[in-house]
Amino acid sequence: MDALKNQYLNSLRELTFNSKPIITNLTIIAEENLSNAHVIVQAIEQQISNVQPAFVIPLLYLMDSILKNVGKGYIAAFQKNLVRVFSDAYAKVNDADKARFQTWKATPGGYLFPSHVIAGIERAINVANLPPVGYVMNNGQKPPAAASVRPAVPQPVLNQAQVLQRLTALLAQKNALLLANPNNYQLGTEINVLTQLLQVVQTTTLDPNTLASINSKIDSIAPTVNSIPPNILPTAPARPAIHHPSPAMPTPSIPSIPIGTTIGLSGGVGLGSNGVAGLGSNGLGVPTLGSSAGLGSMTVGSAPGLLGQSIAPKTSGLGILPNSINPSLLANINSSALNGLLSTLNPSTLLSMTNSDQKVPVIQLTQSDITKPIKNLYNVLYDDIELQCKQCALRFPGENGKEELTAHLDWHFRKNRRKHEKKKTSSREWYLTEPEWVIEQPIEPTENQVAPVFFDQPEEQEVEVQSCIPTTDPINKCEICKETIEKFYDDDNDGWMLRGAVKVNDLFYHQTCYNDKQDTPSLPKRTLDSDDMEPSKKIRVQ
Amino acid sequence: MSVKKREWTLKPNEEFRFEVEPKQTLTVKLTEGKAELFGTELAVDYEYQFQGKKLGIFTWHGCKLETSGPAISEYIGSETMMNEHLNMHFALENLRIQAKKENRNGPRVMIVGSSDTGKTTLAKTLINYGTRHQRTPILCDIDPKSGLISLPGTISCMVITRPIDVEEELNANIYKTSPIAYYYGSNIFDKQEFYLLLVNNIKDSIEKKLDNDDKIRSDGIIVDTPCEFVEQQGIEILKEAIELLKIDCVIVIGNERISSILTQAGKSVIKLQKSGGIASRDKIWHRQIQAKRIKEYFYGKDLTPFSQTVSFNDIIVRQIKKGMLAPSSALPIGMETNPNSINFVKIETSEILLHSILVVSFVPLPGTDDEGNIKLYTPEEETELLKKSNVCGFVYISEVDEVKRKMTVLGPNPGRLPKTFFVMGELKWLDS
Repeated sequence: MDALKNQYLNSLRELTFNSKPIITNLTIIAEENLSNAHVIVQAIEQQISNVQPAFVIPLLYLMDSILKNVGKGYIAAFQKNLVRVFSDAYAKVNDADKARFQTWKATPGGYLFPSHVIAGIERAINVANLPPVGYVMNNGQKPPAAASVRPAVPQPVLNQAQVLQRLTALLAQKNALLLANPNNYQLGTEINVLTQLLQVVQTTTLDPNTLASINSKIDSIAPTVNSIPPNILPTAPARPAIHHPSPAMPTPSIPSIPIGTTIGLSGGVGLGSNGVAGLGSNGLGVPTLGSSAGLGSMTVGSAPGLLGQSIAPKTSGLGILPNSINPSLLANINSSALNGLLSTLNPSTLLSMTNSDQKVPVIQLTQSDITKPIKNLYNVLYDDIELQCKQCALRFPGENGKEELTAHLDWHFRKNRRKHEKKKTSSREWYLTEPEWVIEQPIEPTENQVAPVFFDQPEEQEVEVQSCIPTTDPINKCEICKETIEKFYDDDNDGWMLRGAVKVNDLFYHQTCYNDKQDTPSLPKRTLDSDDMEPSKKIRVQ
Repeated sequence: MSVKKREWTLKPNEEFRFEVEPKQTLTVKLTEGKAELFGTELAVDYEYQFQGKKLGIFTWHGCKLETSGPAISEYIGSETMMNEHLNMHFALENLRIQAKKENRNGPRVMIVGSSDTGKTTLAKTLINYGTRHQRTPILCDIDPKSGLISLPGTISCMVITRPIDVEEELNANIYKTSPIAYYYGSNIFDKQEFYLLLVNNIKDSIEKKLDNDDKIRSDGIIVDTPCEFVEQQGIEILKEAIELLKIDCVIVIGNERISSILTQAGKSVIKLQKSGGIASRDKIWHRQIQAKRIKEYFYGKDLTPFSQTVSFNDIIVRQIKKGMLAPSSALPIGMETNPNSINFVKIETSEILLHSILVVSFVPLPGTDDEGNIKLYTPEEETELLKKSNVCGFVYISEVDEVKRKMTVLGPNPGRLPKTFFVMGELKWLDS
């Protein structure tokens, strides 16, 4: 027993920085000694209480890793002394690291520990005269938790400590409501943004400009909160506070949270959920944003939603401590770098940013713009338009896409049906006169049906012709079957006529459709005198 | 002739190119992935049939195709201009958005290049991408030989509201809009003044339509042009057409000379290279395609034309003639003959009409009008009216019986033939 403990303690001594390989290794050892979980836990607890304050955080990461990747007996083993260990550790670490504790608290999802343990931790930390913080583990199964925000007094912030204070206060309020309002994705995201900011502020010495920009971000979150009375917040519906200027919608895409928050951090919260939705899986976050090491590590290491997963042995990116974020990198994150950052994202994300109502990248009609390749731009015409007719591959974008697709499928159906009814055929119509063409509105293609040979239907010699339709009237559809009524030029009346149509209450119908519907053969109609008719005109419309 | 099925696997950004004889049918099926024909997306597992086509099916994603039937050639190419075409579309989209915001005209683009450079391909692609963005751009074809929208011999345009049909293209009976066409003839150098007059006619029609419809107005115009525009003789006509149609930007394909001439003339020009897959087409090919176009006009895929016998007296046919009718000695003193003037002259109904395609105009025959007034035209009035008239349609004279003074006329539909002037053009056809 002692041998194992000493051996493990020796290994723990190596964990003086946030090293993923070491954490992974220690996690594996812990797993191998699951039967002696309490020994391992003792070793870790001992190490936490013994080490210098600076080394506490990696140990907590290790705890986190073991709890999530091994779990089982370790949950119970850690739980025993969790409150004490956690509060001791909390008291020990410097202010910067204190705040980092809250990144864990902010983790969306359910808890590994019973509520009384978490409450105990919060109490213990409250005693330390600091905002409530919980050591909350994400079991990775529950939907993202939500949080609400309480007022934080906006005030001019002069130094880093003040920004830190604001952040912690705001975050603490939100965390309190996270428990009360577990389904609010919006607030969950928001907490993540704050958490990341907090981490940056804690781990980095920042210049006044950066502080100011962070402060403004806090403002962007806080003011809307101010408008909501605190006592209402906990019971507020799913979206009590929306801070995104753009219409943000809750997306059930859990893995995208860290990415969304990273964008929120870098570009101001204004990017909204388009950014989140466009990015899709969490796999994108690391390669996309990780081009600079500090930035990448921030995405992975500090995003609370990822903490639970990143420490897992299979995830990379933890190797770099948040400390490695330096002011210059942070400066990069600020607005000017936003476009560059975004341009590396997939085009749909980019497009939704560049133009509010159309997914169109800014390309000028110039020689240089035309020849510059834009990766995956074609997706705007393909995958971004999901509604598609399987028969002809037409896609239906836009708000009315669904209705249009339905109408389109109906049209296919009618067309196919007609094809199978051999008796009915259609013919090409004469072109329109210029005035008709000028006012022509798009209507479904004419399916004028005619009998192939007119004398097949001697009983239908009688042609009913309704009054001329004015050429200014583009609508000449049958109200019942919605088909266009055949038009022809009547020389005797010198006007365009609808063939085999009736007009009732200013609406046009095919004679046959109307008859079928009314089941009354006597309808208002005009019959041409037989000597008015040319043989070809006697063709009856079906 | 039975040919085995062939399978083709395309990587992203490759193009499957094929040629098929006008009288043979090649079946192409997309079995996997996504692909498009000049910007129209193909449906999976649908058997597309092609006759008399030289086409390229492009894939952005990679795809698998299956072909069967006889083909002149089939291969996979990787040199395409699709990136440029796509960017061009998005550039137009930007301009459309802008135009809509400011409630003004959308982008007007003219595509210029010598024959077989892919002008029409680009025009179709831009139109198709536009419709996939819910745009309703106007496709304007001022190449009288092409017959892209109407029959060859016309210059025409059409508001396009959906991607162009893969098999029947613009002849398919699926469009929500109809074309407007003006009949010219074939060679633009023959009757330059008349040609430009018709370009002006079509411009007038378009402008009237745009005044009437803000949506179409902001969606712009794509103009496909005859290859003669890049010839020395054609440059002036080209410049004139750019002015008439108020073109914002000319896309010149594979012709630096023309692009520099236009740039010097102060036009906005974008140069594009010829795409890798363009197959040249000879005269025989063009003639066969012309016949195919005529057949498609009457029969389509499942259309029924209508044949009827009419008396010689029922039809009045005119023909376009260049120069004055009368010798100058017969003219009133002081009047000079204009060798370039266009007249619509009488043509005796006779066997000469056999196998002709006649253009049906909208100019009513002389006779009694609505108010019972007798309307007659002088030859000059007749010419003026016919010059301005757009095309109502086409009929084919399949039989002429000079003894009985009757002939058999094939019309597109069973309606009675319009009582308007017919014009004999250059199109001949044998309905087989």
